[in-house]
Amino acid sequence: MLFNMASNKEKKFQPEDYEPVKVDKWETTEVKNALDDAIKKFVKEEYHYVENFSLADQKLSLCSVACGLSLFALVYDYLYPFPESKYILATCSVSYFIMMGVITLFSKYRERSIFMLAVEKDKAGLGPDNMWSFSSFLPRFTDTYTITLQFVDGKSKETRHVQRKESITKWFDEDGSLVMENFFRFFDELHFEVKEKKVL
Amino acid sequence: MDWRQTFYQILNLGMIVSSALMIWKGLMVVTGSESPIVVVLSGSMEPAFYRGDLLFLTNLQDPIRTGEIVVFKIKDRDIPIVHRVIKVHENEKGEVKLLTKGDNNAVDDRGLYAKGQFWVKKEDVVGRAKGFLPYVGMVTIIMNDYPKFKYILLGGLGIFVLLHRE
Repeated sequence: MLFNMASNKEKKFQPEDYEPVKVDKWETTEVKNALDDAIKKFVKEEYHYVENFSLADQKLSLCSVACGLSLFALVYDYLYPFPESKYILATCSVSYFIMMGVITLFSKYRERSIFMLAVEKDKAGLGPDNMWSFSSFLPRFTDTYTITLQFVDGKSKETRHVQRKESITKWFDEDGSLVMENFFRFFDELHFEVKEKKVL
Repeated sequence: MDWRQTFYQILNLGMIVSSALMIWKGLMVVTGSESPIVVVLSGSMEPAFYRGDLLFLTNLQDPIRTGEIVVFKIKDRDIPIVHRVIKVHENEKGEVKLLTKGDNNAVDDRGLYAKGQFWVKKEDVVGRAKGFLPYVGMVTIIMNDYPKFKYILLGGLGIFVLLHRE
């Protein structure tokens, strides 16, 4: 099979290995989440890349700090009722809203629409690893899923990326079940294109 | 990745609750009142306020004068009372004694005060009414009268936020 040779792996893609995914095909968030989750599985199980959680962890830390602030304010106010707690409450309140601003900026500019970061470890285990990032869009009330793969070569440090738009009707059937084979074929071709494409 | 997803959902819920909490605490600081928003529970201030109206309070330093509507607490009773000030006594030291009465009541509030108490002091005052929204407070009254409704509503909202992704 063409895609088998292209993706350079020993095991043929077995759709039976994957749990069937069924979504409400009219619910765009569910559909996007299903496609993103499928890609995460492909990357981990078919290509054996290692997921990089740094972006996710950063966001979790920011949110934890914000919640921590409000928890602190709550406990302090309980122990030392208003109006003694006035200054602590004021500080916590203001800092909380500043944190919310930071989280919004983080979401908008650093995270953007990236749903996964992965590391392709060097086969020999010696050289630098390649970094992959995957982001996607699926606007409401449309059927066009836009997927972007970005690849940073570990050795040459060059960055390549590929973006593809496709209608979700190509991968979901009438009931809303995801046809893994079709989607994997699409994704695999994209992956191959990014990996092998040489910048002229 | 799963525990991260779960943690993120919990944080999401936490942030929604925290936002509400921080706005409330922020309002407390800005207005100077420990309870900047209260609901009118009785009809003793009709026709100015009806049961179920939402009141916005401030508790800043300017002196309390006759005619103003204050919210005050009686010792050992949690429920604050919203009535009008009809008498003010103030001495050189700045100590203040207030007498209050509900517009719709026939007599002043001495019957409501604690045993031996004839005046309301500045410390008992939670705030002064500066603005109001009609009917909005009805939800709080319903939730107080039917606690099951409150638990179902809040529980349902909490579960929805925890399970719903983005």
